[in-house]
Amino acid sequence: MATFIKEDAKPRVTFLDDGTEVYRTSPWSPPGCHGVGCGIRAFVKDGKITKVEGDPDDVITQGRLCVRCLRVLDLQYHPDRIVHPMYRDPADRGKADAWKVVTWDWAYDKIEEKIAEVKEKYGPNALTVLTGTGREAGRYMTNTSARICVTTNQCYTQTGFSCMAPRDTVCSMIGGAGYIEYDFANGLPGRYDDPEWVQPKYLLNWGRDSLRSNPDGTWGHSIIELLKRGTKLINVDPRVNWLSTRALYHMQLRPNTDTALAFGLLNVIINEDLYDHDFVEKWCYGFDEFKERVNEYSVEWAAKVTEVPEQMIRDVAHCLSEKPWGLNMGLANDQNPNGVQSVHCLYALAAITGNLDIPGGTNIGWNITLDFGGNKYDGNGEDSSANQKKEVIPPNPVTQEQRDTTIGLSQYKIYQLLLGKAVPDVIIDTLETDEPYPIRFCWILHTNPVSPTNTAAPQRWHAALKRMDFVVAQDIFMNPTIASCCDLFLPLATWLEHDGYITQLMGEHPGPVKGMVKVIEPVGEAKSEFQIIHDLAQRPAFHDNFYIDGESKVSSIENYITQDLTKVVGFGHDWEYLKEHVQVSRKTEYLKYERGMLRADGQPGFNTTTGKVELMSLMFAACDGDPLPYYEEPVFSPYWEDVTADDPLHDSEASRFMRSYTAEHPDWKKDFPIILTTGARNWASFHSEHRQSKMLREIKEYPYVQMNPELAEQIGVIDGDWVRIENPWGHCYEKAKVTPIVKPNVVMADHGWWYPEEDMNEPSIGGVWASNINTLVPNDVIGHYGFGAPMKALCCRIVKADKPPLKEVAPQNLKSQQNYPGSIKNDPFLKDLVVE
Amino acid sequence: MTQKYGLLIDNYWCTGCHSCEIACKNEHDYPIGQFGIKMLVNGPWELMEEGKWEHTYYPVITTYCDLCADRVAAGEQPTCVLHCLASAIEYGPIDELAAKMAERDRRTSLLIP
Repeated sequence: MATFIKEDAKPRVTFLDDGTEVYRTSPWSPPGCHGVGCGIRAFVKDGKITKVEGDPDDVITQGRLCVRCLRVLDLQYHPDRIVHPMYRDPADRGKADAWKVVTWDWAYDKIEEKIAEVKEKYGPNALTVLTGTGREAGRYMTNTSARICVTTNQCYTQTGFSCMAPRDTVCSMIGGAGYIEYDFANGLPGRYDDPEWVQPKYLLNWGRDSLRSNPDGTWGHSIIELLKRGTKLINVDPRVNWLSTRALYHMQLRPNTDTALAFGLLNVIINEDLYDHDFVEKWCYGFDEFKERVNEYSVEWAAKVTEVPEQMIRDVAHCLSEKPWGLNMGLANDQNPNGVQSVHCLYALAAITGNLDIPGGTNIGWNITLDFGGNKYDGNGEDSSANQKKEVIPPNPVTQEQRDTTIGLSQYKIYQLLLGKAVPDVIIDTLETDEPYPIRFCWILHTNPVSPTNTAAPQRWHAALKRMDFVVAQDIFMNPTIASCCDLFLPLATWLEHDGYITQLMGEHPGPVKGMVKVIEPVGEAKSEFQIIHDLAQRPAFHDNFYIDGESKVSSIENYITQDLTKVVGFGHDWEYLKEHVQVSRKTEYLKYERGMLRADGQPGFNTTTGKVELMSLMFAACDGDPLPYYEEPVFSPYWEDVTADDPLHDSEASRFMRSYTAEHPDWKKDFPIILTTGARNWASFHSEHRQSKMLREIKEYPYVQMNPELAEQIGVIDGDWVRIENPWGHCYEKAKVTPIVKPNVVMADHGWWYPEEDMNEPSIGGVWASNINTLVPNDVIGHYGFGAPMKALCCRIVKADKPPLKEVAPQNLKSQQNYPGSIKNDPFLKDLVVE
Repeated sequence: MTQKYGLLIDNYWCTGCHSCEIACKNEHDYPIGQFGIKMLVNGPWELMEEGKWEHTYYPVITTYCDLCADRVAAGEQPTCVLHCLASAIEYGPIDELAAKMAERDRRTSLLIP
């Protein structure tokens, strides 16, 4: 395996005539984004960053940059950015004026004291570490949970872990390797002109709005590059979004019927003999059983269930029999209780058509290198890539008893086998009830669970966090979660202020490894996520959890990154080398299963029990599930029937939830006839972040719910009116965006909204309840394996709001009421930095 | 006659990302409400042929646009050209751009300040 660099790239630092220094670097977080590591040039004059631009020397982004990074200085030097540690007495939670600045040493003492106190009082696992989506915090979170808090209750708070983990896990279970992703020549030295490159005939884009979000670390506009070069797009999406209008086929399916659509395609491909016999014979296990299952679902049936015309399903299936094509599978597969099965079907679709790991097809990833697997991947030697890791770190200090009592693990075998961390829909109950044991200390790593980002029922998290004895949070701004529930605010350094590294798709896929090279010293006293861990590791209370014989991975950031990079398969360089070049690419390796590159024993084949792609999955069977995929009707749909009650192989929390709800409210569905989808991506924000930038608010001032003109007329609203969206679990207000891109019975409501300009005291806490779409999402509506909440297929009704939930303000007139003592604007030495 | 320059916009592939607007504001320090290039949109609406849609973005330059004269003098590209996520903006002499435009089989516009 080889790496390469762009030989004629500019040096990392160059100088302009006026003394300005120009640094090449790469962003991740904070402020948050997915880890693509787009090329950045940061211009520095007199110690202050004056401008951020795209880096033409980045082989992927080539200078292109989205508005979030183009306006990063709005956040970097925002007057309200918190740059000194602050403490507030837990008795004063919810009071905006009760914070006081403390020293880092005081903060560390307090953390040490509270961890010891809570462990003594409630037990060794009475601590939880909460994380959000996609951010760099994921690189360090297991240090915080396993080695500082020494707890196994690290938790990604999204209901049903409905982001990436379901897709990634299915790829591990069926293919024994990492995520599968369309090939966009990202790991070829000559990119699209490379002799190894083959232009894909089709791109199958399934429930992913890559253009706006660079999802999971894939450069979204690579889609446009492919289409411009002649690849045809097949887009699967309930909305006619812009990408759909550029598609050869747009399959406008009913939300969360993805598995049915995939079955329809598989049925045509198998029964019309359009599959790759050679690949199936050599590399697939369980094809006959799989075929039998597929035959239970006819094309006519699939058309009826999905609302996609039958002829279109047939036509698309014929397209997919032509090699090569790429699969771009998105979040919509995770946010679906039946999503594990849709991913299973899509993996099978790429496999049986012979598109896995061929040029221009769908690349097989290496195993994940971002430790989002919690304790499972930290120092216990079970991880398949352990033999190549060179990390100086003592064994994980958590006990076996702690592992065994991790909240929710006993219920969900896949979490047990592959994740080793707390189950979000179970831990919320624990936080509320102290069952099976109390959890009273919480550490929030750059996430905002009270805002409508990823938690179901944020009002429950709000109340549950208030029960904690102590809550620590790390961030760059005050947010509704910290404002209401936290006691200690640790200010983070931005990506311009610290060193780090970024791998596309969390290290699973070839292409660039990016250096995030510190451009300036942190403003005020902000510290990077690494620095906080490093500092705590020097204290006697935590020292032995990090150091062996006086040495440790965390002894310096150079050490940490260099040792961490040994987990990036085939990379083979240290931090100095990466820092010097900023971007070092791993070459794409095709047909890895033929070349013995997927298995630890070096033999050809896949890293599964059978050595093949397991169309009939032994792993699913081992996890108490159906080894074959199956379709389940979305539970909020009028067509849902209770069919799994006596069926332990298929029953799920989602079914149990609806079974018991329907028993109590037999006719409820007719009151909530609209399908509510949430979470569509926006240019100007990453989930709940970026709302502080007025220029970004000019692009998107307020949250919108997209609705069809027919529905708008029926409820008497016009474009821009505030509407109330409600269902039995909650309600919120958004503005109507009247558009024909959604069907009359489907709406799409923006997520992530709160208002930093609103009062930060309780009960307002940044206006977070006004547009909190996640209050309409109940917990426990998740799939058989504990994965997949229906955030894209809820139910609701919509009425015109009798009054706006807040006073609307033009973006240039947005006025902050925040006045925190640890903010830039209150530091006399930093006032000159302020940008607004 | 001196050579005139302009911008060739590939409207069919413009994804509406706003990067041109913001990059331009950054370069020239325009406040909220002021633009050197502004993205307009036609659609989305369904055409009479079922399943076909009109949804096209039209970045247009304003009175302010100087084609980033300072940047170009320093050997850089105009900032909207550099940052456009879809690489849908080209800068050059208008006769060259017009020749390219004549070859195009999709919605394209030529903008001259």
